[in-house]
Amino acid sequence: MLTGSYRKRLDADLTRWVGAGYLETQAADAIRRDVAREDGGFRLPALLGLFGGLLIAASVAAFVAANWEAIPRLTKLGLIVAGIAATFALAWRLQKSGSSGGAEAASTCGVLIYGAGLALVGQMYHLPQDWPGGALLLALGALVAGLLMRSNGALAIAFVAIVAWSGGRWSEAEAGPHPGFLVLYLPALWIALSRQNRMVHHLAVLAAAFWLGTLPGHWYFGSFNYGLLAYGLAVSAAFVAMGALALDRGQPALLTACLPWGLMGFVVALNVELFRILEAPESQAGRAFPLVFQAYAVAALLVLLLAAIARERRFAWPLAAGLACALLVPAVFWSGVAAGIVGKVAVASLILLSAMALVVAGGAGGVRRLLLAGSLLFGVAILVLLWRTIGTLLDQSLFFLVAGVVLIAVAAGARRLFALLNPPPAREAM
Amino acid sequence: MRLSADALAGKVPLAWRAFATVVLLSLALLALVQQRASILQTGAEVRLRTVPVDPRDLFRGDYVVFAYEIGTVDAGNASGFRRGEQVYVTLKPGPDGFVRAESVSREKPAPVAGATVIAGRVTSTSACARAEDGRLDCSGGRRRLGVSYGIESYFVPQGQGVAIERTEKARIEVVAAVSPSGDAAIKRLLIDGKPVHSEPPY
Repeated sequence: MLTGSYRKRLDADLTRWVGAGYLETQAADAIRRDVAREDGGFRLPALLGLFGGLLIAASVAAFVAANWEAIPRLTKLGLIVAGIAATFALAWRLQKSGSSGGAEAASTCGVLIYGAGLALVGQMYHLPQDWPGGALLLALGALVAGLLMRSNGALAIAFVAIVAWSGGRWSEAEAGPHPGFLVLYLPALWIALSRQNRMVHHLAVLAAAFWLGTLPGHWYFGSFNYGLLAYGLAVSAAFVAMGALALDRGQPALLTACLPWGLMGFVVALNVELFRILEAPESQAGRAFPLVFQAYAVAALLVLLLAAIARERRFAWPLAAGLACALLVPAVFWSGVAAGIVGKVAVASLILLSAMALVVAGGAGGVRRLLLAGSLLFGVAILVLLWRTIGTLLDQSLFFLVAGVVLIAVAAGARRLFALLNPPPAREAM
Repeated sequence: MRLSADALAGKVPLAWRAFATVVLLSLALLALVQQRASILQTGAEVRLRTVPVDPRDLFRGDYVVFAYEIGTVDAGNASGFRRGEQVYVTLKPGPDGFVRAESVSREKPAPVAGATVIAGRVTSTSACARAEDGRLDCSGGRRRLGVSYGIESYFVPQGQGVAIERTEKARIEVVAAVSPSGDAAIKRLLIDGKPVHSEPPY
């Protein structure tokens, strides 16, 4: 997937290579032209068209809000239906003449007009305020347009509407997870799998994360329980493992979007666990409800899968080790030892190990996100440990000394370690 | 991937796909309209007393919120109602022509002459009753449910909402149509007995 920043980096590299004599100037120019052609200067008209379409959709929405009584109801309805027909006819024409960006914009505009139409009908017929129901109808329409017209904008709207619908029903019922979510989400996911649009990928992952977040049930959010944190950690670890595996195997592209969001949850959850050992009352063992065990089972499975079938082992194995260390942290709390100094040292060590493993995996695999997440986790952990002394200052000093020595030893043996994990390509039988 | 969504959709020509999209989306809108229209055309009429409050809904223009006398229902000895549960309320006209809520149940009761059954959703399980002059009576004792029937919002042309809100409650009357399945829709709005707004089916 070519992006603007890739083009800039390639440009700088080409200049450097020409200067170093690896490449002829003509060859460099040919490469630049090839990259520019694939990137497409056709984006600007489509972009302008998209904004124009959004303005038109906004004007329709304002028309709705004006509640213009002078037009008879059926005429207003007819106008909306005509608007929908016109935009999709335009999308068809644009697609036929080769402008897929324009067709995309027109289809998205059509779905927005349909949404405005729903609001208009609600207003005309004094429908009760059931916005989750409206979100459901919008999601259905957006899915239809997303599938039939191959529109990514419509698919994006569908994901947002599905989450709005499910979230609304979940908070109305104030109970367990909303099962209807899967009925719409799975088809949307199936459609999104064949798309290359990154926004769609991220929305699909976020929608899944939302639903997984509702699984514990509404009652748990009323009174926070550290079991929720363990659940969040397990889900985040699962996401990271899935994303890393997809990255390693090269596909499916949608699952690679799990990585950044999983890392975010992962880092946040681990930092909260670290803060916990600082306060005596928070270090008590929490309660683990059944869902936590299920989430742990899934996460453990995915981590093992990552270690087993990943192609680039010097990326996958440190990452798997790091995830495993992190998953052990709640276990330390549950065993009850976290209240004492041994438990606190155990938790702090596990978190630092996990951070280092992320950094190693990120460095070895060239995945900047992992490097960043690991460094962030490491930095925050060190700061927290420095800020509040655990045990005595001498204990603290000893702890840091040991950690530092271990890291330097690893660095010294790193080259041999990596060669062990990943033999040179010539010897790999594929 | 031959099983991918795009590959399967691609088997149908683009023109048919665009046509199908327009038809499906339009049908969804028209089905919504027809569902409402059928209530207004075939539903039984009931007169309801109201108390309006006027907020502003950004996405749907100016609208008035009505609270009805029948919005608070005496559950009697029945218990165990939960928020969000669907219930059926039996309405019987009183001596002044306005209907009153007689009983509430989870299942749809058999039709009785002179009574209308309206479907609603429980909004609260500990509502206060409204006395004749509109004051709240929260003395407790008997179980009272707050129920909403889907006729609590009414859209008006821009600016007229305030006029309705400022009108004394006793002068506003809503005539609703209730379909045999219990769905309700506002059919007429009267102030001082004179029709102010009337909803045609289409």
